Amino acid sequence: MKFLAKSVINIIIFMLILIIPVALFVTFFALRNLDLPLWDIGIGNVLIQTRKYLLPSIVISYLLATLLVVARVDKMRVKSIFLLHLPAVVVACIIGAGLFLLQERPVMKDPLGRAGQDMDLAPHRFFKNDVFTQAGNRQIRVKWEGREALHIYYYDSDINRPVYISNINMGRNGKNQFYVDESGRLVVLKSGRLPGKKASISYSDFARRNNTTDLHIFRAYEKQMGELYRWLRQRGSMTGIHLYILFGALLLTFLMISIPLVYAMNDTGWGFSGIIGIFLVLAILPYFYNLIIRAVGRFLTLTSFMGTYAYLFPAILFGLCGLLLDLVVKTRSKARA
Amino acid sequence: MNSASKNAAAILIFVFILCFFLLYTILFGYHNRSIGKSRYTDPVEEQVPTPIASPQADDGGEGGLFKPLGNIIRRGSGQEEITQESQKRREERLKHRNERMRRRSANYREQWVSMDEPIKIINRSGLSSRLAFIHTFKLLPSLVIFLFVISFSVFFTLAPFQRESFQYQAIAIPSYFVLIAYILLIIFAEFLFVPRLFKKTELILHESRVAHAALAEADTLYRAENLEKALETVEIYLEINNSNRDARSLQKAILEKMFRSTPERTKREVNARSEEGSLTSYEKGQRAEREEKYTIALYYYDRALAVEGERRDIREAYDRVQRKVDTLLATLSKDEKIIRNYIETKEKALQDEEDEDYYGAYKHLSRLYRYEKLKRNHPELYEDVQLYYRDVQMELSKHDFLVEEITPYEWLPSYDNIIFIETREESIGDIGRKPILNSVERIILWEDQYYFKDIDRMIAGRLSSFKYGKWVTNRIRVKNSTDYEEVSPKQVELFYIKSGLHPQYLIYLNDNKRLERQLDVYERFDLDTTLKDNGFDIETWPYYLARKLGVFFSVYVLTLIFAGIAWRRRSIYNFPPGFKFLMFVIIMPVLSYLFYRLYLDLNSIFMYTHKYIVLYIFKRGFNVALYTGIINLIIAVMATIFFLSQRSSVE
Repeated sequence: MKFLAKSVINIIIFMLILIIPVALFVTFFALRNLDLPLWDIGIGNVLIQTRKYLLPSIVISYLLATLLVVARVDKMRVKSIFLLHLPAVVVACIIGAGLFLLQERPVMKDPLGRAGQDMDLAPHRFFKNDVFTQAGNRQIRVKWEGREALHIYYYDSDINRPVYISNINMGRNGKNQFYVDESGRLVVLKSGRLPGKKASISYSDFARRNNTTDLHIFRAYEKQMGELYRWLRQRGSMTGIHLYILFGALLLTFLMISIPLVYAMNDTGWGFSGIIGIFLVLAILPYFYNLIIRAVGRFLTLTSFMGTYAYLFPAILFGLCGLLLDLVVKTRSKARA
Repeated sequence: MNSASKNAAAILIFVFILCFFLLYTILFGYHNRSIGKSRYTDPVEEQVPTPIASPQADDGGEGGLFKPLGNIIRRGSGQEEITQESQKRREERLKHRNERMRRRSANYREQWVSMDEPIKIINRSGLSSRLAFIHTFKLLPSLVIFLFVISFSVFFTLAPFQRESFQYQAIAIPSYFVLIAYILLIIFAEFLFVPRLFKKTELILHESRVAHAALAEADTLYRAENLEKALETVEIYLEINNSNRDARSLQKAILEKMFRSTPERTKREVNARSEEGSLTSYEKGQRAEREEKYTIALYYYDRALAVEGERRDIREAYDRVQRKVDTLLATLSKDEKIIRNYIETKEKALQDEEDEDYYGAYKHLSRLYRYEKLKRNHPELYEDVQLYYRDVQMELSKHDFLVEEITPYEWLPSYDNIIFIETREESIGDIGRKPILNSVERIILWEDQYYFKDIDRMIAGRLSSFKYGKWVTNRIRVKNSTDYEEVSPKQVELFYIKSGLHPQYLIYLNDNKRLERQLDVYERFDLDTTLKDNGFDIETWPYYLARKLGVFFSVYVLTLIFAGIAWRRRSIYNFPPGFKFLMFVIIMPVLSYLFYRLYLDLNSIFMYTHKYIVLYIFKRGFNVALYTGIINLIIAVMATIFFLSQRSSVE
């Protein structure tokens, strides 16, 4: 009981330590995927995005905290590998209760959904003052005074003729218009001086500095998570209780698989290997999940006996794998003892 | 220094050197392969899917076990369907694979080798070597972090350190100093070594582009029977790479054709021309006098007097030849008109030259230069016109240029679509101090000269276009005429661009990344304001310094923290378990790199908060480098205390 309480407290402490860096990282990842420049997105916009991604941030920091506690646990004090899952389940219940009590309704109603952007995206976020900003084959230089563009030099290398525009109206009125079309993810410049009288620059055209989130390892990971997300989204026709059951089942299965793996890597004689175990598990799990989902996709007809709950089949498979891992770890520990 | 300290320092140094060269070797292989034929020089070769042979109805199972799962299950229910489906899947897989390779190739080119189209790299091993060094130095911070983690976690727990007298300080102190040495190496690499390596890679790429274009052009000229130009062009290639068989064969073919069609006299002239370069003006004058070319001798003696001063022998020679020239002119009575023209025009030209009115002198000498009758009837007089003409051109080339300098070399690869701003310190006419926008379609580099083509200048909203330009005396001279053209003082601002930036930097203005990575610390401090004035998006030096401080502190802080954690959680085995150690060696370098990048992002956040600190708290200038330096220093002090306070005993 004492061990359980201590583990629960440790998980919560680690969660609180990790929530801010994880939330920041998730936010920057999200902004990068929106192709938004990070040089001056504004703290307000960062907080808006952080709020949107608060639930995933909490879940990720909870999972990381759980694995950290398991990686650091003293194996001599663990009576049963099966009971080691309990602290994580307890914390999950506490978080669930907390979310319910806080009544985060939009998030609870559509945990996978993303509300429309309500960030403050004005042109000054995309163009630095008085220097050329590269956007695809165009180079644009804006002289700002606060949020007002005093003049613009516009150059398109396909046409090879610079254009000078002054008397600019920030917004969609007037002769020379300069605004952000958030629905189209475009920065729009309208002027009679421009070829075609309009220039629409997509967010993705803006050249970006080398971002950590651009690293190949994150891209590969994101691809796997994207596949998992698409699979979950395909089940978006599910509403209410079914969606929560699916989430809950997946969360449980993650714990069931990752905890024995991290516990196996935990070594009282070499504490560092436990930390390595966390990252090993985090690295391989998405690939493992997608492998199972692809395999299930081929054998879909076999799951028809489950009726409405057929979506739980992958989760059941994961759970069985987790159980098997628990048995293997327990057997090996006994053999060593 | 006791044996534990010596062992610790030795391990850290030896393992570092080993890992450094191992990393360099792997990266050399990677870059060599990426640049090599299969990935870079040729477009990705499409792999055409080969049809799978239809399986027999009863093939007895040979190969059956290795067929895809779907086939085994569905065997017997339509062999053709199986084949078509497998074929379709195979095509899909190959399509994805080709797409992946194309993307990887494009990413590689974008990150390391900036070229629009893949071409064969001339000095491939040189380029690969430099890129491998750059890449290794870029990974050096994570290598150092990994080295300390593995040392404190594993190596420093081995038998030589397992003594009763062992104290943690015995390994901590020398490790600390070794870390400082590695950080100094990283500083040197970041500030100096890596930018210079990038510069060298750009040079290799440029040479490859030039060589590629030269060979193609030489071939075209050879086929068009323009042999002299073809020879000149192929020699450009051979100067860059003289071991290429195709180029050597082409050169041989050109020379053979040339000497078959060229008279002996021309060959002698070619040989004589090559000897001329080594003689002084006085010696050239003496040779011309011996050949009875008195006007030419007079020219050279005049130049000798200007260069070597009033030497008696040169003065005597000059006077002697002057008399002979006067006599010569007096005897040429037949063509009085031509001679009179020659004398009058030449006098005007020489007077203008003395008054430093080189445009005037050029105008007069041009007339003589184009005077066909003079050239035909009095070639000896015409020769000295050529010499004076050349001299005046040399003076004019300090401020102007002839388009014919570059028209034979327009086939050279260029840097395209460059746009920059010219800011002015003084107010000029109705333009005032408004910046002038300049766009250049092509910048051609030839023999250390920079030529510009199709330049547009936006001055106070009005667009002026120029066909040609050249970098002369720290400015860009632009014009539309092909000849030397004098510019009135009022029009100087229109015809000369003073960007303040040498073209070696201008050519990269449309590619931030390529320029920034080539600038070493001196250039950064020197040029950041000028680059910004030209419209280039570059961080000013406080931000540059703040970012670099992030790199150095990230290594320091992360190494000490991870080393401390590694020591607290060190192995108590004689040697860690095999599988766990293998996982550690695989995963830890990746983790080191990730945490290094995350610390840099954290540093970027510190830099970003500086804006708000200045806005709301300090309300006046507070250098961002100092601000981030202080924050990083506080973290560094905490990390140092954490590292040095570790215990010797196992917890």
